[in-house]
Amino acid sequence: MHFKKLIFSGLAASLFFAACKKIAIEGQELEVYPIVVEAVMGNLAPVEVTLSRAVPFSQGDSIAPVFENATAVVVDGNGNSEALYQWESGRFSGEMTTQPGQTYMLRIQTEEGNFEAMAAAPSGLLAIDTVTFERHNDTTVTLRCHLVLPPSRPVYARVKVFIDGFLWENFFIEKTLEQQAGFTQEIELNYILPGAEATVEVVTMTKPAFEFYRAIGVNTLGNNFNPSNAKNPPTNLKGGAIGFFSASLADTTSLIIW
Amino acid sequence: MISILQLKTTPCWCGISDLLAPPRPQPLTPKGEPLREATANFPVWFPFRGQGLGLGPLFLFLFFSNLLLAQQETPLTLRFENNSLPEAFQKISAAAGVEFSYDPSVLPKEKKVTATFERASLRQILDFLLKDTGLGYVTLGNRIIVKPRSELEPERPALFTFSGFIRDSLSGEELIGANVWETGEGRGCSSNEYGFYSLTLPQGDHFLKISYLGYQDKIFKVSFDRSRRFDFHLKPASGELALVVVTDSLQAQTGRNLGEASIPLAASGLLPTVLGEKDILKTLQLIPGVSSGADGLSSFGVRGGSPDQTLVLLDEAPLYNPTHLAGFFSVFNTEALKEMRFLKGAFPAQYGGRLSSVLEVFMKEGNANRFTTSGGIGLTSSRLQLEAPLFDKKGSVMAAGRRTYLDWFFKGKDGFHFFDGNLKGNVRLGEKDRLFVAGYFGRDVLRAGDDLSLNWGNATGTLRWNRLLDEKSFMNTSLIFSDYRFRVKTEKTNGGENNSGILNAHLKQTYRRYFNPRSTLTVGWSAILHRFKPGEYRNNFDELLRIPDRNALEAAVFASHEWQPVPWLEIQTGIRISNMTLLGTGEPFFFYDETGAQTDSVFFKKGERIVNYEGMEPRALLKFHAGRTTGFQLGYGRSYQYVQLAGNSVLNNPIDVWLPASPNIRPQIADQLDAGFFQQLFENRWDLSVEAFYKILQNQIEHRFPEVLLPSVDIESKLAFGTGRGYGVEVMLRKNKGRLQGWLGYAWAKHRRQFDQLNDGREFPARFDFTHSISAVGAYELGKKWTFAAVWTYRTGNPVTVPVGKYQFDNQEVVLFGPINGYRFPAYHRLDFSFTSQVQRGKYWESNWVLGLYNVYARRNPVFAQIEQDFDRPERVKINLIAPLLVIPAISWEFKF
Repeated sequence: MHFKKLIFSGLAASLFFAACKKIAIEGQELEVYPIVVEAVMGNLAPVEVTLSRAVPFSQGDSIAPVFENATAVVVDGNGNSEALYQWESGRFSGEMTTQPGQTYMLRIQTEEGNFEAMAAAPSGLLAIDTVTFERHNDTTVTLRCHLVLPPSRPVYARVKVFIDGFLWENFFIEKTLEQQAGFTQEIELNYILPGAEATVEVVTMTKPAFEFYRAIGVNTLGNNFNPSNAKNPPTNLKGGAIGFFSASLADTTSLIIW
Repeated sequence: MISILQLKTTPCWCGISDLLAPPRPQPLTPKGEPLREATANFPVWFPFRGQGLGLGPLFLFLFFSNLLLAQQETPLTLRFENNSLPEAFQKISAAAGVEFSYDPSVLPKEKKVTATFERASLRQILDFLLKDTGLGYVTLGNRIIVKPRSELEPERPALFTFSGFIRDSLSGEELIGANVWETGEGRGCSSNEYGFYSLTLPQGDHFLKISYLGYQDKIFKVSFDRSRRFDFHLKPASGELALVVVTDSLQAQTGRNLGEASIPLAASGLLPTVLGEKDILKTLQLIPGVSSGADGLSSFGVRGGSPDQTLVLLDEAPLYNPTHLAGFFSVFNTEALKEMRFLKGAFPAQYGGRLSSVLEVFMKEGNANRFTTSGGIGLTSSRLQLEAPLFDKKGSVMAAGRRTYLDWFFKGKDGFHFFDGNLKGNVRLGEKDRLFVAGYFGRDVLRAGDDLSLNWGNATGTLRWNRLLDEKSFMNTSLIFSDYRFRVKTEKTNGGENNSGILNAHLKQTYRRYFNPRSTLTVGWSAILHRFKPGEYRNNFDELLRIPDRNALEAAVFASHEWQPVPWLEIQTGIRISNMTLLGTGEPFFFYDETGAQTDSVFFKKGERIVNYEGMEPRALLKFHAGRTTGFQLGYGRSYQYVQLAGNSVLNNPIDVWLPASPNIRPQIADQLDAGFFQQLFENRWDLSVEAFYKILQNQIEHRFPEVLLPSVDIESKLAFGTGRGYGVEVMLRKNKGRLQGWLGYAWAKHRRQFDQLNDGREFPARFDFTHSISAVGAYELGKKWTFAAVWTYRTGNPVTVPVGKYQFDNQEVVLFGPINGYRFPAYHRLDFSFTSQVQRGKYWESNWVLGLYNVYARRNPVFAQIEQDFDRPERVKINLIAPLLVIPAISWEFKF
C-alpha cells in the first residue's frame, strides 16, 4: 500500500509538471536605461563611487562607460567636503572615512544629470570579539563568531566570510529587541581545506542601507522572482539614478583554519 | 359687527358673506323658476340648525365628502359658455338639484369656463371647474360648500401595522429579503436580515403578495383593522431552476440598490466549479467588477481593491482569511448556509471598516419542525449537515462539517488537508425575544515530512438577541468573537515555532424603526477590541522572540434613513462616525520616517492611548423609478478602513500580516461615486443593469521591497503609502425565466496607484486591474432529469512586473525591473460545464448527482511565472509563464434525508 501510494504520488506530480507549458517572453526593454551609482564609505576603507549604467539583457557587458566629465563631492555634517578623484572613467575615490553617527552628502554631476544622496553612519559598531572554528570533517567547518552589540538598538549588519580572498558566505543580521550585550553567530562552511585563511568582515550599517543591500541580494540574476511583487529596491539617490550611497562601520578579523 | 343672533336663517346659495350682507334676490333656474329652498335637511339635533348653514361650512369638517358626493353621481349634461364660476354653479344647481355655499371673494373673478359635459358626474364637473383655483369642496346633504383647500382638512385614514417574520413552512427558517407587497397601491417592504418585516397601511382590506426566490408566491387578503403580529409561511417551490433572483415585486424589480449583487445561494450548486467543490466565492467572481487574482482561486478583489478591502462576515463575525489552501477553496460550507448578501458599492451606514465591498453570509438556523440531514461526497471532500428542532419546537439547531481527503494521497506525514465545522442554535423566548448562538471553526494543516508543519484557520462565535420592541420596531444586539491563527513549526536544530494571529471581541446593537412603507430609520453602534499578534517565535532552545502585540479599539455610531416622499423617488441617507484608538501593550512602540529609519521608540503602558483616528462617513443613495420597469440610481459613500493586510501577493497567503492603523500607518479612505440604470425587459423575462463608478483612495499600502513580507518588529517600516483611483462601467444582462436562465456580464475598468517611493513616483496599474472582463453564465433544463450549466469567463491578463535589463552592483549582476505592473500576462479565459441530475426522491430521502468539467477546451492560463536565464545565451533572460494543463473532471453525489 505504501509503495502504491508512492507510485501514485510520483505519477501524479510528473504528469502535472510535464503538462505545464512554458510560455517564454523576452525582449522587454526600456527606451532609456538609468545610471547606476554605487557609493560606499566606511571606517576601514575610504569613500568609493562607481558610476555605470543598466543595460538590456541583449547587451552582454553590463558595465557601460564613459563619464569623462563627471564629478563627485562628499560633504560631511560638519561642512567638511572632499572632491573625489576619478581614477578611471566612472570610478572615484577619496580619503574621507566614516565616523559613528555622522551624516554625509554625496553630489555627482554628469552630462546626463545631477544626482544627490544623503547617508547616515550608524552610531555604534557590531564588533567581533572572538572567532573560533570547529572542523567536522575534511571539508566542513563551523565558525563561531562572538559579536558584541553596541549600546543602541536596533542594529543592522552584514557578515561576509572570505576564504583565501574569495567570498564564501554572505548574510544579514538584524537585532532589534535583544537586550543582551553580545551573541554568538555560527556559520557553517563547506569545502574548506586545512590551511585556508578565513576572513570575517562585519559591516554595521543603517536600516535603509541594510534593506537595500538585502533587496539587491533578492534581485540577483539567477534567483527566482515573483512578477506579482517584483520591484527595484528603493534608492536614496535623487535625480533619476538607481543605486545607493551608504556609510558603514566595519570590523574584520582573520584566522587560519586547520 | 353682526351678532350671531342676527344671522339669517333663510336659505341661500351663497356662503358666509351672504350671512353678513343684505339678502339678495333669490336665484332662478334658467326656466325662471325659483330654486328649491336649500334648507338643509338636518336632523333636529344638528347643531347650528337654527342658525342656518352659514356656520356649518366654517365649523364642520365633513369626513364623508367622498361618500356623500358619490350619492350625487347621476350623470349630468351641461354646457358652459364663457361662464364665471357663480354662473356655472347656478347651472349645476339647476341641473343637479344641489345648492352651493361659498364666499364670493374667494372665487377667481377672471376665471371663465367654456366646456360641454355629457353624462358627466357632478364630481368630474366640479373638479374641472375648480382646477387650478386653489379651491376645494365638501358636501353636506344637497349642499356643496366651496372653500379654499387650505381650509379643508382632508380625512386622515387610520393606519395600522402588520409585523412579524416570514418563514419557510417546512423548516421554520426565517427568510431574508422576502418581499411583502401590497398589490393595489404598489407599496411594500422586504424582510430584514433577521427575517422580520413591518408594513403600515391604511385601514381597510388589502391584498398582500409574499414572494421569495425558490418559494411559491402567496397572496393573502388581509384586513387592516388593527395593528397585529402576523407571521407568513412560504412553501419551497419544487423543480424550479434557481439561477437568478426573480421576483415580480416592483421594489425588487427596480428597487435593487446600486452595487448590490443578488445571486442565489443555489447557483453555486448548479454552476461548475473546481473539483466539484461548491464555492460561493467563485460564484461571486462571475459578477462584473469582481475578479480573482489567479486561476482557480477563491480570493477576490472588487473594483480594483485588494482582498483585505472586502468585509467578509459569517453571522456577523468577521473572517480575516475566508479561504482554504491559500485561496483555492472558500471556508463556506454551502450545506450550512442560508443566504448571502454582496454589496460592491453604496453600502448603507451600518457597514463599515472596509473600502471595497461587503459579503455577508448567514448560516441556516436549523429545521424547527423535524430532524433532517444532508450532505455530499465529492472527489476531494465530503460534507454533512444535520438539523433538528429543540425545546419542543421553540428552537432549532444546525451542525455541519466538511473535510478533504487530499492527504490520503501522500505517504507518511506529508500532506495537506482542511476541515471546518459550523454550529448554530436558536430559541424563542416568548413572542418578542429570540436568542441565537452561532459558531465556526476551520483549520488548514500542511505537513512536509517530520521537519515542517503549518497550521492556520479561523474560529468565530456569535451570541445574538433579537427583540421586537413593538410592531414597528426591531432591535438586534450581538456579541461576537473572531480568532484567526497561523502557526508554523520546524523541527530542525535551528528551527522553532512561530505563532501569529488576530483576535476580536465585538459588541454591536442595531435598532430599526419602520415608520411606514415609505420611511424606515436604522440607528446603531458597534465597538470592536482588536488584538493583533504579529508573531511570537520560540526556537528549539526555548528562546523567545516576540514581536509586540497591537491592541486597538474600533468604534462607530451610525444612522440611516430610507424615505420615499413620492412614489417615483427614494432617498437613502446615512452617516457613520467611526473611530479607532491604538492602545499600548506595556511595550515600546517604534516610530519610523518615510525611509524606514527608526526615529523614536516610546514606551506605552497597557491601555494607554498611542494614537487616535476618526472619520465621518456620509452615505447617500437616490433612486428614481421611471415607471414600473425602469430605474436610475445615484450614490455616494465615504469609507474608512482602520485594519489592513500587509500582503504582497494575489494569493491569500496565510502568513500575511494584518496591521491596525498607527502613527506609521494612516487609515485607508475611499470616496466612491456610483450611478446606475436598471431596465426590465419583456415582462421581466430579461433585465439589464448598467453601473458606473469612480473612486478615489487615500493611504494605500504597498511594500517597498521585493521580498515576501514576514512578521517582524519593524514591519511597518517596510511599507510605502500612496493614493489610488479607479473608474469603470459594469453591464449585466440577465435572463430570468424559462428553461434557459443566466446572465452575460461585462466590465471595463481602470485602477491606478501612485506612490512617491515606488516606480519613480509614476502611476501604475493596481494588482487587481483588469481592463476587460466578461462572464457568460447559463443553465438549461434538459428535459425533466438533467440541468446543464456552462460558464465562460474572460478577463485581461494579470498586470505584472518583468525584468528589462541588468546592472552591476556589489560585485553582483542584478536584475533591473521595468515599470511596476507594466506588463500583462496573456488574457485569461476558460469554459466550464456541469450536469446536475434532478432530485431523485425515495420515501424519506432525496439525492442528485453533479458531474463537471473544468476548463473544457484546455486553455493554458498562466498560474505563476518564473524568470530564468537562457544558459545557451547568458545575456538573455526569459520570463516563463507556467500554465498547467488544468482540465479537471468532477463528480459528486448529494443527499438529503
